[in-house]
Amino acid sequence: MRRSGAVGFWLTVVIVPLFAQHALHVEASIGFGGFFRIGSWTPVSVSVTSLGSDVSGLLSLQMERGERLGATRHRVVYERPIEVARGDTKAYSFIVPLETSIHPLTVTVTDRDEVAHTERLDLRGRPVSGRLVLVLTRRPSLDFLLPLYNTREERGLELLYSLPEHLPDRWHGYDAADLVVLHDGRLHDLTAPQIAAMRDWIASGGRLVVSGGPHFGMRESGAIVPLGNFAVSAITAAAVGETGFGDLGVSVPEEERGAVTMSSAFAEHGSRIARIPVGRGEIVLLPFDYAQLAGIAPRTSTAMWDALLDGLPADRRIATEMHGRVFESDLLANQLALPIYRFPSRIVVLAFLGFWVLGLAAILAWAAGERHPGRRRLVFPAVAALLALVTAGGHIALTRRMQPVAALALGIERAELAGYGGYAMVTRETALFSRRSAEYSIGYAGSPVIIPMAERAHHVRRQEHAEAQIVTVDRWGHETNVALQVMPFPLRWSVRSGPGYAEIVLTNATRHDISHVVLLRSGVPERLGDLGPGSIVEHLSVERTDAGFAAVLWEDFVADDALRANRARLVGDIARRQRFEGGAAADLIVVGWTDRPLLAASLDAGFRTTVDLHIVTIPIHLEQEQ
Amino acid sequence: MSNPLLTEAAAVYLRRRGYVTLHITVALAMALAAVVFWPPHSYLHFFRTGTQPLVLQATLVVQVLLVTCVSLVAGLDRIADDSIVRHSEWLERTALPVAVIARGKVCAAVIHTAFLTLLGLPAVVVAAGPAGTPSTPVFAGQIIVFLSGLAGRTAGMIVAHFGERNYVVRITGGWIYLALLFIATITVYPPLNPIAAVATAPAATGFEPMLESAVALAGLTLLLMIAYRVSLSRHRRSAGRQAHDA
Repeated sequence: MRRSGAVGFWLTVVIVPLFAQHALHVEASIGFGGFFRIGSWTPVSVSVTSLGSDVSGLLSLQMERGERLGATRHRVVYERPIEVARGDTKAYSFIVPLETSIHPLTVTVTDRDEVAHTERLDLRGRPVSGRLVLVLTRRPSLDFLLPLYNTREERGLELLYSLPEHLPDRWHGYDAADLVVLHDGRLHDLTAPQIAAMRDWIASGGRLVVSGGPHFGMRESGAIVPLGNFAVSAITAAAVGETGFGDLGVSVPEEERGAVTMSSAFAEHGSRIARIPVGRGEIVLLPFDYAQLAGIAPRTSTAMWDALLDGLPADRRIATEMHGRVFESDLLANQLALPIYRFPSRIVVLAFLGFWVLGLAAILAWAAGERHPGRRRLVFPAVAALLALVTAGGHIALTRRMQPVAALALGIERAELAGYGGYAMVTRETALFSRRSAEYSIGYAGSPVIIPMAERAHHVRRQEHAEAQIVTVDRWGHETNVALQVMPFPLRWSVRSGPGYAEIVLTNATRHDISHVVLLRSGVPERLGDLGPGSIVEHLSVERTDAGFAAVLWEDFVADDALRANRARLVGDIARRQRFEGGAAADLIVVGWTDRPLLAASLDAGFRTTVDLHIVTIPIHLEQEQ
Repeated sequence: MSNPLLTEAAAVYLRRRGYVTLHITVALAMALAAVVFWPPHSYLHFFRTGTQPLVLQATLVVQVLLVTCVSLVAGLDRIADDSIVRHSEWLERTALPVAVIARGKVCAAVIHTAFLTLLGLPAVVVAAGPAGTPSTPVFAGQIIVFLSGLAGRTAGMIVAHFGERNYVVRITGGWIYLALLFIATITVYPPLNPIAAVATAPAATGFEPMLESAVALAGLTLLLMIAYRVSLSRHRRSAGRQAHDA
């Protein structure tokens, strides 16, 4: 007995840990409860439990893209450093653009440069095709919608009742969701990054429904303060007909108008339905408990959910790839219209090499005529000296001095304000140009950004507060790298318009200097001047009919020096072509320059030349009023 | 310069009009290749079209063809042949050891091939600029050119040696060698093809893509040199036997 105890002791204390050095338990889950949408950014959470020694290494998620057998197939690896103490469990999350469910995801844990665990996540079978609604509730309170939207053959709606801890903490993690509903779930369990992610997702075009009612108290409203002031002053009884369904475009049937709901009286929005615009999206505040509404006014309830689900912006989905939107070659032409970036002419090359040939001929002719063998041997040092002179001179004069650097990066950053809520969608496109084949690193520090995958991006490395993408650029190649972020940018505007005129007021509540602000009206620029932090500009724009004004040189009009003129011309060209907006043309477009980047990129040392443009645009539709 | 063959080579290559003209022509041809293939468009054209300037590729291909062919012809003793002492005369009418003869011929071949290669270097360096090719693959390409030239030169010496006794070999040997090196290797063993090897230089960042070719060409040169040395020894032995019999 004593012997077996000793054996057990040695097995436990010495032998098992020796062999269990890499004993890991890894659990990976994808999407929301296993559901995900192809073509969307999808959260993948991985929990790592160390059963052996401390783990210090790398957690990587490998994703294959492209056709199964096609030439376009390539891999992207997301990496995060991990530290897991013995016996500890840590959760890590990735958000990846899923383009197909054909290829499995591969999760790999590397401990001190050794692969400690590999697992493949099969994606087949659970992609969502219809609407995806994410609900934070304690009960299946929206199940009554399922038979209305789903048939035996087709599923038009998926409801996912999520726990707060499973919600993404980065805004693009909600990309697959069409609607997020906050009901009587444990809102106070939501973390600050989760709330911030939710807010940014709304600002990027998402829609959040907050359901009030008896369950919604100070604790709940306090938990979601970053989303807005939803403080409740009282609980009142309100008739369905007087709750403001008209604002949602829902008409309440006569027989349901008198039904009474227990509604929250919000301090700021009262006890009526409120639509609160945030950036490109909105928060819909329901003062009542929607589960109760379904019981007392079923037709109104159904119509309300129809309106909430069907009125979603169609183009809200975040792109997984963006290419060529800044017209890289135009940008390059614009920035590099300098003689130094042209090849030396043929005549210069001919003259240079002609000097070599003539010099050589002279030396060889002299050597041929020289009778003294000792002197004739001088031909070798003479040719060597001329060769060295010409080769070094050619390299310095024609390559180093007259041709561009090996790699250059041109960044164009555009903050587009959608009008409401003081949020901007910031897109930064960095065009990389290379004259040698190399891998370049582009890093983005600060709050999380999306980096849509470029074709040749192989790695995305995420540190604590920074994200870096490793991009391969071939010799003489160029690659566009895109980063996307939603951020508060309180540059506000209001417009009053009538026949032939528009009066615009711009308020810069940001901490940025915005210079050379221009109003574009049907392609005709009007100068608004500089906007310092806190300043206000009022401008009356009268529609101009004289064709001569439109012919004014953009660069002369906007800027006073050549560099600014080049940049202004580029933006002006793009804005006037209305391709800048990538969609419906606005009646007015405000274009300005920020003094520093909003979404700064750090480039590796391979780039000796970088040019950055930071532009703010506000597309204004005259029917909108802010 | 104690080796008489080296002395002879220096006199021939530096003093004879044919060789002087040949060297200037090689340098001129290389310069013209760089100028003719110089990119006619600006940088932007290449960025927009996703293409690359072909100037370095073309210049290297011209160089490898020129150096290989000129080396072969020089090995065949076709230029200024009236000033060159034939193999049979060195082997049959002098008491110079075969090793000295072989060493003199090979040293002259190495120095002259290196000289021929260097004649094109300025054009190649200038062409590397628009191609955006780093210096390592450019110089790796020069090694390929040199090895290809040296192999051609050695093959030429073998053909010249046998050709002194066989007219058909003398006339066809050089052409057969060129056909084997530049055409047959495409299907038989592509790394041995010098054109294919130098064509990879512009896209390379280091020596690696050309390493196999360099090893193959160096191996071929070594084999040819051994064969040349053996043929000289056999010639000397047979000449000795004939003298003994006489």
